[in-house]
Amino acid sequence: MKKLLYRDRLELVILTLASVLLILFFLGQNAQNLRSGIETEAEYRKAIQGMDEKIEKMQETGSEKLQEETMLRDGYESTMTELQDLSYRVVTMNACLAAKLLTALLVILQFVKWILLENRRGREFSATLPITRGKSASYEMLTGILFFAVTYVLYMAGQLGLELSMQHTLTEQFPQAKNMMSAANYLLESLYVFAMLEIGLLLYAIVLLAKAMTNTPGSCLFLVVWGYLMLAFCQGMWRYNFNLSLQGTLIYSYNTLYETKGNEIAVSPWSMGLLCIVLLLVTAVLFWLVIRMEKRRNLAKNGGFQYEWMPVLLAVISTIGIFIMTGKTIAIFEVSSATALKPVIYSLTAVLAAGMGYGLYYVTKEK
Amino acid sequence: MLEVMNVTKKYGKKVAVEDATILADRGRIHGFIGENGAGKTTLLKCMAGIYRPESGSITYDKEAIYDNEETLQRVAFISDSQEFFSIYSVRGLLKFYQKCYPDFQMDQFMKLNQKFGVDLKKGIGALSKGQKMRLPFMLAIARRPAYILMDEPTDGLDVGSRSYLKDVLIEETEKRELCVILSSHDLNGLEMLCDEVSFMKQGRIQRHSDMDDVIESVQKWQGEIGQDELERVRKQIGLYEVKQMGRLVTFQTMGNAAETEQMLSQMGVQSLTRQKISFEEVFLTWNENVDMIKALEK
Repeated sequence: MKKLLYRDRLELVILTLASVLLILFFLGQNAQNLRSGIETEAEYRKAIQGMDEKIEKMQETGSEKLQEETMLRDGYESTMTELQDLSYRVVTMNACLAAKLLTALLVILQFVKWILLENRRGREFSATLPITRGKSASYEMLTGILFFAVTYVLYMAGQLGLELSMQHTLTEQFPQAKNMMSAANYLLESLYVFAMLEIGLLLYAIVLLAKAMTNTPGSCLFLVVWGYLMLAFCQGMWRYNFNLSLQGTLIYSYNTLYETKGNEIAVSPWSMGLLCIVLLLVTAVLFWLVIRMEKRRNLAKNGGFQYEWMPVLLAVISTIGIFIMTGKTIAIFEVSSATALKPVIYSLTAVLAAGMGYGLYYVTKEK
Repeated sequence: MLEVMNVTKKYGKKVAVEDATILADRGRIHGFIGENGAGKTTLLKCMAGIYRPESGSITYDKEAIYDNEETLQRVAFISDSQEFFSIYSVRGLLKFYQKCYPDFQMDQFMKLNQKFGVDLKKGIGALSKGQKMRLPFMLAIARRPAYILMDEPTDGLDVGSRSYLKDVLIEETEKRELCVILSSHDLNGLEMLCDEVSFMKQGRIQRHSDMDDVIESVQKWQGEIGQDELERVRKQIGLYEVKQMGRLVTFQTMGNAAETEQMLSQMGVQSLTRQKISFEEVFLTWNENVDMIKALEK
C-alpha cells in the first residue's frame, strides 16, 4: 500500500483538496439559500401579520374556503414556490452538482494516470513491480470508495449543522416551526445524497472496468462517455422523482407550520434506503469483476488486451440495461401501487448484471 | 534456478514463442541470440511476468513469477525501450524504488552513477537515450536482485559505458551469484560475457548450450581443392558458407573438429588450415542453415 500511496500521492492530494473545496463551496451555497429561505419566510409572516386575527376567526367559524383565498391573496402560493425553489437548491441541486463534479474528477484523474503512468510501457513497467494486479485494482477501488464516503459524511454533517441552525432561527421567530424539521426529512435527504454519490461510484466502477477491459484510447473514451451519459440519465430520473417527493415533503412541512390540512409524507425514506442497497450491491459486483479482470489481465502486443467485439457489446448493452433498470426501479419506489413490479425489476437487473459479468469474464478469460 | 518449461505465447493467432524450455543457474550469464522477430523479447517479457504464456510454466527457485510479489522482488527486468513513469524525476523514482524494494542500496546506486553520470534532478522524460538506458541498469543492480533479465542492454550506450556495464555484470555474477539473462545483437559483446547461449528462430529455441561448445560446434577451414573434389566433399560432409577463389576455398563444417580434419585430408583437400571463427560467423551459419543442420543431426 505504501508503494501505491507513493505513486498516487498527487492524485490523493488533488482529491482531498477538491473534496474540501467542493464541500465548503456547496455548503456555503446551501447556507446562503437557507438564509434566503428564512428571509422569505419572515417577509411572508410580516405581510400576513395583521391578518392573523382574521384568519383565526375564519378558522373558528370554519370558513375554510375563505381562509384559503385569504392566504392565496397574501402571497402564500408565491412564497411556497420560492421556498420550494430554495429547498430544491439546498437539497437536490447542490448535492447533484457535487456528486457529478466528484465523479468527473475521479474519472479525469483516472485518465490522467492512464495517459501518464499506464500507457503501454507504463503498464509493462508496473507489471514488473512487486505489486500484484489485484492489489492495484483494490487500491483504486478503495480510493474511490473512501473519497466518496468521507465527502458524504462531511457534507451531510455540515448540512445537518446548517439545517439545525436554520431550525433554531426559525423557531425563534415562529414557535410553531419547531416540528418543521423531522428526522425523516433529514434521513430522506441523506439517502438522496448517498444515492447520488453511489451512482457516481457505480460510474467509477465502470471506468475501472473499461480500463481493465481495453487499453486503446478510442474504446476507453467511448466507454466513459457512454458511462457518463448513463449517469446523467440516472441522475435526471432520480432527481425528477425525488423532486416529486420533495414537493410532498415541503407541503407536509408547511402544513405543519401553518397547521393546515394534510400531514402525509409523500415517500418513505426506507424505500430509498433499499434502493441504495441495490445500487451498492451492483457496484460491489462490478468492483469484484474489476479485481478478477485485473488478475487475469494479459498484456498483448502493442498495448491492447485480448479483445473480442461480441462480449464487449454484450457487456455494454447489459450495463445500459442495468442503468435503465435502476432508473425504472427508482420510479417504481415512488409509486407504491406498482410494488408488484419490484420482483420483476430486480430479476431483470440481476439477469443483465449476470450477462454483463459473463461478457466481461469471456473477454478476459485465458485462451 | 530459473526454469522455463515448454512456454508458448501467442498474440492472437500468431505464435510468438513456441514450446521454449530453458534452465538457467545462479552465478551464470545466459545470452539469447536470434534475428529480429525471433521471439527473444516476448520470451524475456514472459520471464519478467509482463506477459502470461498460454501454456508452460516459468519459475524462479520453484516460485511462479506472474503476479507474484515475492518473486517479482527478486527479478529485475530491463527493457530495450524502458519507460518509467514519465512524470517522475530521477530522484522521485529513486524514492519510489526505496518504497518498492526494501533491499535497495542507495550507496551502490550512487557509486554506479559516478561512472554513468545521470542527473538526479532531471525528469525521466528529459533524459537522453543513453541516460535512459543507464538508469534502469543502475536501478536494477542497486535493487540486489537474484535474477536480472536484460533486453538489448547495451543499445544506445557509448563504448565506455558498455564496457563498465559488462564489468559490473561480471562482478555481480561472481560476487552475489547473480543470474543474468540477456538478449543482444552485439554478438562480440555476448561472446565475451556469456557462459551459455540460446539461439532462437521463428519463436523456437533451436539450440541451447555453453558458449564454448557453441563456438566449437562450427569450424572454419581454408584449403586448396579442385571443383570436382569439392563437390564430392560437399556431398559427404556438410559444408556451409563456401567461398571459392580458384582452387582456394574457405568453408565451415560442423561436428567433431578432429574427425572432420582427418576426413578432409583424406578427401584431397591440400594445405588445410583451421581458421579462427567469430561468434558472429557461428550465428550466421546457424541462422541461415538451421533446418539443414537439424535434419543432419537427426
